[in-house]
Amino acid sequence: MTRFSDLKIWRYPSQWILFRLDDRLLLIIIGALVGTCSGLAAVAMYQGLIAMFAWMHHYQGYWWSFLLPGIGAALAAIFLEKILKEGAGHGVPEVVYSVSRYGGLMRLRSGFSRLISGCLTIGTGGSAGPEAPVVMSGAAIGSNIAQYFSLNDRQRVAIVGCGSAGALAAIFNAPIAGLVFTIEVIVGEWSAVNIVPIAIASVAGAEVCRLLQGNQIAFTSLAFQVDLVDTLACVGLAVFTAAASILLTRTLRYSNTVSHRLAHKISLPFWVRPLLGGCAVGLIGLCLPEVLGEGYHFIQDMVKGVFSQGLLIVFVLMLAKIAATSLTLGWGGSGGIFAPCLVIGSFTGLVYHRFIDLLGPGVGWVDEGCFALLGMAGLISGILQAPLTGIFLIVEVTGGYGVILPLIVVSAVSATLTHAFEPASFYLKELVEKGHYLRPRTDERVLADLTVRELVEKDCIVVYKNMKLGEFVKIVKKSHRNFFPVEDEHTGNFVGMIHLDDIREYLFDPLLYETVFLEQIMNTHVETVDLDDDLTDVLERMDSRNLFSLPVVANKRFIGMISKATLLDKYRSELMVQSYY
Amino acid sequence: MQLQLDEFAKCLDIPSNTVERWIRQGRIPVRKKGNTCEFSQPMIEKWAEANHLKFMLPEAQTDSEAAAPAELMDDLPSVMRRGGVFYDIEGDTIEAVLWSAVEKVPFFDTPEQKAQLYENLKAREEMMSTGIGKGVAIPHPRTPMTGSGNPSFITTCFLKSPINYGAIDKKPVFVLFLLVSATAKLHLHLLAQLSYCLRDEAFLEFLSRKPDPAALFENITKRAEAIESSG
Repeated sequence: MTRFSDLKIWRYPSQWILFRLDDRLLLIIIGALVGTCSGLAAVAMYQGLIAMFAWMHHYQGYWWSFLLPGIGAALAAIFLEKILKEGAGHGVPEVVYSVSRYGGLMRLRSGFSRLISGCLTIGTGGSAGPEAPVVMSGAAIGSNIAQYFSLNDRQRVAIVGCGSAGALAAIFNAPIAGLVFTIEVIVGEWSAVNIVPIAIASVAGAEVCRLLQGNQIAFTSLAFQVDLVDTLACVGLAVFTAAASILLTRTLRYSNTVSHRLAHKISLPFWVRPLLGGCAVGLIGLCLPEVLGEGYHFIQDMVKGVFSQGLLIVFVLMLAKIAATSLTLGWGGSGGIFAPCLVIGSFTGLVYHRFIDLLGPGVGWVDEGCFALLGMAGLISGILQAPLTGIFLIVEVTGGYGVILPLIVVSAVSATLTHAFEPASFYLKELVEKGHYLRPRTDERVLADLTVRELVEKDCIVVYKNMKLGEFVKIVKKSHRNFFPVEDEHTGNFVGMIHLDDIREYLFDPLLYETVFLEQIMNTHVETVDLDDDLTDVLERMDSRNLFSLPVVANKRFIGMISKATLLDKYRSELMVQSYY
Repeated sequence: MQLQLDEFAKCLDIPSNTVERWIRQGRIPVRKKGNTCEFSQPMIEKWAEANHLKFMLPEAQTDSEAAAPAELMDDLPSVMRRGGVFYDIEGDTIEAVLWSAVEKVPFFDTPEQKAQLYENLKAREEMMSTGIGKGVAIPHPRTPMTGSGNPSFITTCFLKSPINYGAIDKKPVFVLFLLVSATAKLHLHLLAQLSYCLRDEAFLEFLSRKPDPAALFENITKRAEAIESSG
């Protein structure tokens, strides 16, 4: 057996002498590997989409072409549900969930599932983006590589971050955005141990993209001449983008609940939901083809300032894109929110530009392309509530560092305003509601890591229900605790609790010693805790009833006591240990 | 170096399931192979210090545990043996008897210390007599004489002639148990055990015969064992 494991020493790099003292170098090396792999996955997705678009191009223009997005979304749902047995979802929340709850454990099949389902949805015209699918793939690839090398949870989370950063860097050719998005949204912790490998992975991912597809900037923009008045006008734009973000978030959630309720009421097969949503998108697309697919082509036009439609049409397009995105993602299609955000954002920027142009035609506003660009940043920051991601992504995809000042203003204001109305971002809303959003070094994180099993104190003296008070008094003398669990001496089951405070007055009355049995004085309505209970619940129960300790009972057997004093002790050491690295 | 998981957890004084989770989560510089923990001692000590934990190897722990029983035994028979038994203590008044008893005490060697003990005993008697009745008194300092460097002891003094000690039952006192304890907790414990013995008429009758030290200690040991077993 030892020989066998000796042969596989290369699978346990954390035990090599080189990496024993500090795992940073190891994380950087594995991070580079993971960044390369997820970059390849992103390029594969990109090429797959191009191929799908080319193929689908032949079928556009027929009256029945509105069915295509529906069929694509339905196929994607069937593929995920039946073939891979994975729940639908955007991808990013699943990665955050896995990082929060399972130290970044993900299944191997997640490494390609979203690529294929995303291609099916977006390629046929569904209004979604390829970013969330590649982020999920990259993260899953990272997770599986980390598992292969038997890394621990902390290291695995960093490697999962490497995967998502590499993928995002490759799909947008934007290494800084990959790094910042991963830290801001996925990992949630700005520490050098994480940032360095993730940065390296971003570089590797972007490098793969550049080698295979050339170093192209997604939306080349002109050099804008931004004046002070434009920067001030951006505050107004931020209000617009925040409103659009809130609108998009709410319609997405609303269409999701409506579709679920509908599917539940008339018990539709699961694939009908995306089919209907997709067909509805297709119908919108018959009139306004701009809403279909990822829509990067139109962004390019808008940033260049050659998108010629008037204010009203652009406004309708913005609303239509929001509707199409909600119908695609809310009704069970597969894909990300990034690309729709960019499209809606540039529409919003354009609407705002036309609007202020109407108000003040004499003012020499900057080119409308600049506002389209700023709108994108505003929407990304608002929807993800990640202002830094918005800033860096837009700078990188447009090559427009010249607009950095208004960009920062729009991103910051938009994120702040959206946060005021929607405290949890679109990605994390559900996780926060279910209590699965656990950021490092927070109260939730510490309480989620500690378990009742680790806190239970077993030094209680057990008494029996048929014991006389006199015998009990002798036990009280020996014990240094105020709580005495009462068990049935025949079955061993926990039947009640005696708290010294409740019976103190009888303890000194020898007359009662021989006449009172514990069964008669114990408290039978006791709040108990199970070994697998969540500590947050346990604490809430303690607080609501003003208790300082509770008995832990499993399978009717008394296990021990759990008390706030011990909890504080362990809580502190847990918090300290978690902050060490 | 290598240790089993539960041994290692004991070194840190942390539940082993917590340690196991920390290793899995990568929060502690330890590698686990099966149930064996592999770590470098300086690293783990540094880690423990940074996290306000203590890391003590099992050998070091047993050393400190072994050192504890070597300290003075503080059960009733040992404390009485330490104090010694004296007969024919002279004096007609409480003060005179107390002074004679203090002179016999095998601790508090210098005259100043003896005087201090005497003053302290007298202060307690002035508050209220320590004569607990049936011819027995348990003089003890008003405040525990901690910090004097002396161990706890009970010196048994049989008086030459019974004197009026101001006891509750007004009976003349024939024996003193001079009790000096190192801590307040021990004081209460010794007092409780001694008074438990003195509640027994047979023991009082045994005392009135002024037994020799060996017989007295044998009797006390037996009674102390009975108290222990009854709880």
